[in-house]
Amino acid sequence: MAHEEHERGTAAAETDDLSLLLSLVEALIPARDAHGAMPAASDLPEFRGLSSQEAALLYGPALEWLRGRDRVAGPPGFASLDRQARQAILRELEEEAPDVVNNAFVQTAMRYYASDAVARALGLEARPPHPRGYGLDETNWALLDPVRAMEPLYKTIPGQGEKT
Amino acid sequence: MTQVDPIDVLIVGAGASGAAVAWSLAETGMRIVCLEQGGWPDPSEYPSTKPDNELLQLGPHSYDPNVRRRPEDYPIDVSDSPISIANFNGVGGGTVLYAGHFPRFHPSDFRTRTLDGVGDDWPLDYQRLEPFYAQNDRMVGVAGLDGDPAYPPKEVQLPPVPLGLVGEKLAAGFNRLGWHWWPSDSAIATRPYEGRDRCVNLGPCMSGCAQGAKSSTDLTYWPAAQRAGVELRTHCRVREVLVDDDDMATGVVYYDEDGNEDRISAEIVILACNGIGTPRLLLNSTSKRFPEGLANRTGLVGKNLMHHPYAYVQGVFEDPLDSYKGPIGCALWSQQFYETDSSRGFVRGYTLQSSRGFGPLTTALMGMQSGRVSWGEGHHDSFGAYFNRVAALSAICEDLPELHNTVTLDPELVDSDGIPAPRVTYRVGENTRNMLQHGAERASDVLRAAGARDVIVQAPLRNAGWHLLGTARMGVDPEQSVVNEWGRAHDVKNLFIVDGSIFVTSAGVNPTPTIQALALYIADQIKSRLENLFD
Repeated sequence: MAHEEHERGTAAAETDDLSLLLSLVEALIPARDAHGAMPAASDLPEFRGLSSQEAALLYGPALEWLRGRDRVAGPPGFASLDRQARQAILRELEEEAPDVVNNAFVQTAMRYYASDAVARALGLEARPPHPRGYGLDETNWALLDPVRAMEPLYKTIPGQGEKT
Repeated sequence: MTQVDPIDVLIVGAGASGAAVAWSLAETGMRIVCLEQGGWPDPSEYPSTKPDNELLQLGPHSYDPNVRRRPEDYPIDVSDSPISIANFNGVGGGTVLYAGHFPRFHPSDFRTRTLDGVGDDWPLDYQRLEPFYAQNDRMVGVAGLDGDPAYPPKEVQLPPVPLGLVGEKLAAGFNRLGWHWWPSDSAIATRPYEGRDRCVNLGPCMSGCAQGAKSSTDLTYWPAAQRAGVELRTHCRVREVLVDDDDMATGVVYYDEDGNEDRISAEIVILACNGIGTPRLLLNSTSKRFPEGLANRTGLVGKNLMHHPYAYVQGVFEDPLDSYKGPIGCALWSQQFYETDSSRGFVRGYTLQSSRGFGPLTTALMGMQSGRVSWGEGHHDSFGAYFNRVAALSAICEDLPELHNTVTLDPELVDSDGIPAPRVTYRVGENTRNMLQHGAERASDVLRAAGARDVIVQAPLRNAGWHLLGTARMGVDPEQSVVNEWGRAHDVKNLFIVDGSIFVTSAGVNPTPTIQALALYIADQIKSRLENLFD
């Protein structure tokens, strides 16, 4: 029985941790519906699949600060607030500890922009560059005509050949 | 093939210069062994073959050894330098991770003391080195276009890398200002060349070319050198060069992959470990005859470290530029500001080198760093205004030799074999600072003339210690230099140095063609002097 309670407690803690994490990353990179839809960070498996340990490793200072803030402020907690309210709280944190928010933003961007779903939303092919590579049009070298007309630019040194 | 000890020639380092000198000497039939602390790179593991390629470039495939931290890497203390060090420890060395931008020095670069009263004149000149530039170009397969008015006549082997939309934008900007530009000489096969496939515009050349189109020496010199009989032993890290009572090098002590100590004897020792690794090895090779480090009776080993401080300037344009497509560092260069014009407030000059843009992840991180990409409601708009809309120019500034810029041995930091790590102490000099500012301003002019709506400047760029030069300089005077005019140590008559540490001045261009031309020149000198090489 104690073991089951412990398991339930651990699962609840995991759920709370994930909920807090997703509410944080969604405030940092929210969805966009107009002008080219983009997913929210919180929609992506790259974030939904993070364990508490991974979240603590990547977002430790930010999550700790938010938990501390929730203890002082009481309900509703950060994760239950609407996005505008969460972003206002993050701006407070940014004033107080800019590195904490910046680190959370960097960690979020690193996973967000490595996501295939985001690549597709940006209109890119979700594939590594190799082996197909990319095409580049041949250059029209008439662009060089004004440069071809220039006098030599390099300095000649006595005994070291002549200008062309 | 394993050579029987003692061997004739021992080369330490299998990068740009070690490969070239090995290949050139192979025709002598001498018994040649090269020790390399890393292994063979595996192109199938390069980031561009992986879905998370941009993440890999930030970690295990970083060009910064302090980030990469592979077993074959040694740490480098850069806490007293505004520029961190880039290298690759493996067969091919820095050529595995370089951009392939391949400009030669100019004739004036060998005469800075005579022309401008700074640095020192080299003990050789452009004309002397030109046949070896040409020989190297043929091995490499240089893509470019004949007729650049910034250079004496020279030949290229392959058509130039296409400019793409990025390069065309920049070219239009240069043309509006009436300034010089030219398609870059590039160590990139734009057509199949000597068994290498053509470039398919992967983009991230600086984490290795999975296509094999970029000319790294694991693909060019080494296969030819091995066919000619040179033995290359990987995962062998040299601790010190040994010397006898007659001031002659007798061989080296090294550690194999399992950390076992071993020795190898040789008639000739050639160092090719770059401008950080070579002084590190010399300074760690102390003996009764050389208490301050081998070949260091002048105290000049490790002094005069030169980089090329970079002013990196991004222009942000309205239209998409397909900027993540194509070799990142190879499209065009400008040498409008290369030769000295004293009205600019500095002597010598710089190259402007184009850079394409990056993938979405790197773009986001760079945009966050510069404050152009924000979090919150405006994130997607700010990112969208930046991604795929960047064209950049770098001013590659000539750095002058200054005694206080040094490589020394760190008293505490060691590598995985317990060998002292190098410590870099470096300041950007006043002449270079003025040049950086000028370069940033002129690059901004070009970008605005090309239509950029925003310009972002970083100068000096921190992660730009790609070029490691000057720490065992070449010269005729044994009191003012470490090696003579053909690469032999003044103090040790069977010890040669062929890497960037022998540079007298840095010029304002990427150094690999000159490093390799010098290695071929020194090999030629060794071959032509074999009968009295140690006199």
